[in-house]
Amino acid sequence: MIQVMSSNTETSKGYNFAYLDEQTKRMIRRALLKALSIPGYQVPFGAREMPLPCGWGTGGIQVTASVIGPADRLKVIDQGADDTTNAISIRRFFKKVAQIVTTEKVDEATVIQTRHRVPETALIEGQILVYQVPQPEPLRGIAPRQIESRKLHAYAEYGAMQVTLYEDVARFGYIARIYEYPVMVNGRHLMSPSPIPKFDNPKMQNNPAIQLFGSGTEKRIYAVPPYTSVRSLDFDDHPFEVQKWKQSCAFCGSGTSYLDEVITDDRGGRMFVCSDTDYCAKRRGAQPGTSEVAGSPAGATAGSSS
Amino acid sequence: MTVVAAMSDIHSGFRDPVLDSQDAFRTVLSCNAYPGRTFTLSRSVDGPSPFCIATAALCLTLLDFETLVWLEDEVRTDKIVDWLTFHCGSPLTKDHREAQFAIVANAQSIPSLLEFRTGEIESPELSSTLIVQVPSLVDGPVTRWSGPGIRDSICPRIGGLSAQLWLDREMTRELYPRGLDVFFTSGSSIVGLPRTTNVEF
Amino acid sequence: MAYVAVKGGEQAILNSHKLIAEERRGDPTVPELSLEQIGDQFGLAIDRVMNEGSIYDRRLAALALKQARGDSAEAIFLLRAYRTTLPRIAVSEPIDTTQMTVRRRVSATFKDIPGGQLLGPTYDYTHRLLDFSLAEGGSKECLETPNTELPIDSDLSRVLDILDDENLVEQAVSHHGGKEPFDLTRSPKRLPAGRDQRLQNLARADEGFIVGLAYSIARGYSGSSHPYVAEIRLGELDVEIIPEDLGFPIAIAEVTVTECQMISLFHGSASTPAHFTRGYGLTFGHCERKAISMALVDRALRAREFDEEVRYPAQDEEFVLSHSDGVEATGLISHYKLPHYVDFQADLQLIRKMRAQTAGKQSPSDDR
Repeated sequence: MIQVMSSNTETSKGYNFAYLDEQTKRMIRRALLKALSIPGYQVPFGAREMPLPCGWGTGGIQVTASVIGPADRLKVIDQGADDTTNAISIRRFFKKVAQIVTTEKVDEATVIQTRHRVPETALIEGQILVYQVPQPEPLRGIAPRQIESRKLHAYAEYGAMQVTLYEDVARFGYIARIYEYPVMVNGRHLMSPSPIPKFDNPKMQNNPAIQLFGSGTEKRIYAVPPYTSVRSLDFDDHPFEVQKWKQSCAFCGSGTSYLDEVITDDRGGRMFVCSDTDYCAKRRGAQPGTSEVAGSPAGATAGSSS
Repeated sequence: MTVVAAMSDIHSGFRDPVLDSQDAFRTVLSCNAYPGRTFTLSRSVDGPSPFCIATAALCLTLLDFETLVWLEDEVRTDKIVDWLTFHCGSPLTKDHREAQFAIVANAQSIPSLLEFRTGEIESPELSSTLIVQVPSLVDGPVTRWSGPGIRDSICPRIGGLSAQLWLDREMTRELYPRGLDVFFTSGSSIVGLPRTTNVEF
Repeated sequence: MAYVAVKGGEQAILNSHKLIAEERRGDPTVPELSLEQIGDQFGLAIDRVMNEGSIYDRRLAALALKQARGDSAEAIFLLRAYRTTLPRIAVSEPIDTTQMTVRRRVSATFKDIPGGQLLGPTYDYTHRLLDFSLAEGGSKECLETPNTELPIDSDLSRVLDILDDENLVEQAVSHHGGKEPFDLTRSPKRLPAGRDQRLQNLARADEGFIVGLAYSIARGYSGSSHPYVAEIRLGELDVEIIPEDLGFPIAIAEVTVTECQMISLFHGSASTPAHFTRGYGLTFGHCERKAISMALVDRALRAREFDEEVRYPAQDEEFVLSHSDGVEATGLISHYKLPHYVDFQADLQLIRKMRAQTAGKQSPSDDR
């Protein structure tokens, strides 16, 4: 009778395909459809307890488990990289409970689960990008009570958010938000893009792929359909702009990708490398040393860097 | 009739309930994500008449004991009720105003769309989803759709719908983010029409 | 130097699993604990794990504790994750605690109560002196429980039902009139919450959090007056279901529960005369600290019902419901261990920009 999954004797015996039972999947699938129908609106769902801790991607995992099938190729990234420990752990989970084929290449993946990044490589129609969301409520800092924030969303009362951003402008001369930068979706719902750097915000706009967001702890699912307006909040005199680096990637030479700073010694030595490991590897494989821009929807969007 | 479960006169469901519904869901997800495009199911299911493959697959994929279902007269047959009860376990209602899912085969004879659940202002997701089976997805009048999920515009030709239905739907659009989400089915194909889509004639 | 920061993650994870397995087992010359030993001799740890794990199965709880090396939070998490995968076969009838085979029952409100006070197993009157005889492989004391002369009533009415005769205590009425109670394991919390949702949350809540909240109530961070333990009872009960094809109840299990009913004086309002209001706590197993705390917090959370001003955390439904679940809380707290390179890089850039600006401001000519 005892058949607990243990970290030592790992087995998928006794568990349904993709771990969740069918009723749970149906509940999540219905929530996903409503989420696509109301872009940017947070649909409450009966998140289940997962064998990974809350805050470690349980929302994203439940979404992925509800959409994924044997025909899929799954890519999992954390901080843009396929080989960070939590990405490995989640990939192992799906290999075990769904015998899913995994890949590190964006071009090969049909479902990509991510934490904190949008891949540099442009996505295409039919691909699904699943974001792990620790905290889905963009108004949490302004109205921590759900009972209040639900009302603000219901009546599109987003003035307080603009005021908060303007306080930054008054104090620093610019908006000092650099990740989890709030966006307006389809001109109606204020949405948290999850803690991706604002560098990635423009990629969400008019993306051909399906973007799904899951928060297990807060039990919310939301979505951005393909070809949907996703506008980063800003002001006429302080337009939204993304981060830039003086440096280029030390490996592939990219001057346009999001860079991680790596400390190389204890004497202040450091270098900058692409946070997106697949993008970096692809560039190195194809044309080592060049700094040509790989196609990214970022360039096409309004309000990006000047 | 093919494989039969337990009771001999109930039509079968998915051959592989887990993987067939996953496959069907991905089609449905695409329909909702890319409104106006026709997506065709890759797996078949032999539902009770007059359900087409797509209508039956949508039921098996989305309905269960948690979904309150309303059946339009033409599909409120013993065979269908037994099939839905057996495979989905869904509670049925005779009041279309409280239904989470409404299943329609004759769109000409349904109550005004304005009477279906459009959700609550703080919970717009608590709204009806309509599964409307139509004679054709290709030779109805030309309509021009735009909105989220559609690059520029797309021109579906859904048949079997009344002008009044389109007018009523246009009225529900003013309630956004409340509203109605529709799937049109025919044969094994589906077209999604979420509440965000703007339809012009 | 070569850049190797994040490579080899998969092997590292596998090695880490081997290490925890090794640490769990400890010195292989020491005999391994059996589930029976854990179940019998760490009974209160089992009770806590079952409570917060939301599953009544002593053997599974023992396994979880063994696997978690005695860490109750980790064991609770293991049980919760397992519980989600179990199909729901039936819904039991509500248990009736008057039908309990009582092992312990005390009241702080009356010196003598019908049926009597029954001290039962409790640490309450032990002196907390380490018993070094246990270190030497067992107590020398007689392990046989002395027989009580008087048999315990099998149908013990609740103390509050006695006060009820005078209409001094609010009626214990079902607020749901046959409606199915809210189930937090299947639906997201919905605010404002009903008492059913709150009690379920409290029953599953982290014991430490609930004890802390109850302590804040006791110290005056709450609107209501001094509470009394009207009754605590501990004992065994049958869980019954009514199978559809039978139509009558059958017992499927026996469970141990602790029930606590607290009362506190309510000064009355324009429409209601002064009376005692109730707070309710119920736990699996023997968890008195949790049951009392739960009852206190339950009462505090009923503030709205009694038109009391919500001023303190323990009265604040959204605050309590959002933060009391131990599995959710530990998850989010521990997620800070996950890599945050990307956001940290963004913060680094920002802080450099801010400092550059401050430096710039100090020399007016550079100011933009």
